[in-house]
Amino acid sequence: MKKLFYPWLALTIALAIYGFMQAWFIAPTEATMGNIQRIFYYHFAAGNLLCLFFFANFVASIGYLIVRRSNPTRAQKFDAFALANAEMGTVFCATVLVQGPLWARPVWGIWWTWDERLTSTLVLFLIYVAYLMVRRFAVAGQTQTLAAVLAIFGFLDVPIVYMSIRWWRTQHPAPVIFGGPNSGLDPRIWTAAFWNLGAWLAWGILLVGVRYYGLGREQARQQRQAAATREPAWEAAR
Amino acid sequence: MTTLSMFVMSMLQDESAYWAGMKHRHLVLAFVLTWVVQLGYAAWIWRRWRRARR
Repeated sequence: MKKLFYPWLALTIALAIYGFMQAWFIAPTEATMGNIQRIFYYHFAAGNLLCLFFFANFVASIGYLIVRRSNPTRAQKFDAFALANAEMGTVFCATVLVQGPLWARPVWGIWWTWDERLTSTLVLFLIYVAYLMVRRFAVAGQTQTLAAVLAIFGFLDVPIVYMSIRWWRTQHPAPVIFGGPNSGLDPRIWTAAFWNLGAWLAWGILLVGVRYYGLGREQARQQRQAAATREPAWEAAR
Repeated sequence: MTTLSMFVMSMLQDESAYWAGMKHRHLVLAFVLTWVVQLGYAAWIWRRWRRARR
């Protein structure tokens, strides 16, 4: 972990700087919206990565529920990984909900509308905030199991968010990826979008890694304390 | 936090004297707030990690 941290941090910073250059100076100005369209490079990355981190949380939560009785040590690792990914996904979801209205106001003339994409994204954010609240405030004993079950049900909203612009006619634009024959982007916009996606992915992996490592240490400390007081040690690090 | 909220409010108000001439304030604000949220979380993780090391 320590050996990887600084090279990965350097890679992340380099990608973030190059992604910024791509988004602000190299990518062409979009014909209809002008420079405000450059929010897309952050919005696209955050929107995709929140799905990825929530998916990782979903898989880790299933893993926790499967092994929680047979292999408590591995279950703790699954639980820490689930929590780290839920936090990272929630942060990306928060940035999407900040960027969206700032883009909508000059383009649509409104900050917010209750269309299916926006509403399902807000619901997704609230579900994972609830997940984090459960982790933080639930009475000890069943916290990890409750959180894992909530995460599995909460993840059901992710496909709805993703498909909402395909299933319904929304104020939010139609998909530009796998969106059919008339969708797609200028290759130079794709280049900038993918550099920024790579930069934010590197950033997300860095933070999840550090958080996971820190949670492992917190769990170890709690187990030592529990062993000292002869209490059950399988309560979550919060 | 007060300074930050005043900064955000001044950027959002179209009639604000300082920001009225700035065409791309929404783009700049989206960039700034994205990094504020992300770096805020990173700082919180860093604090938790240091606490866990003790």
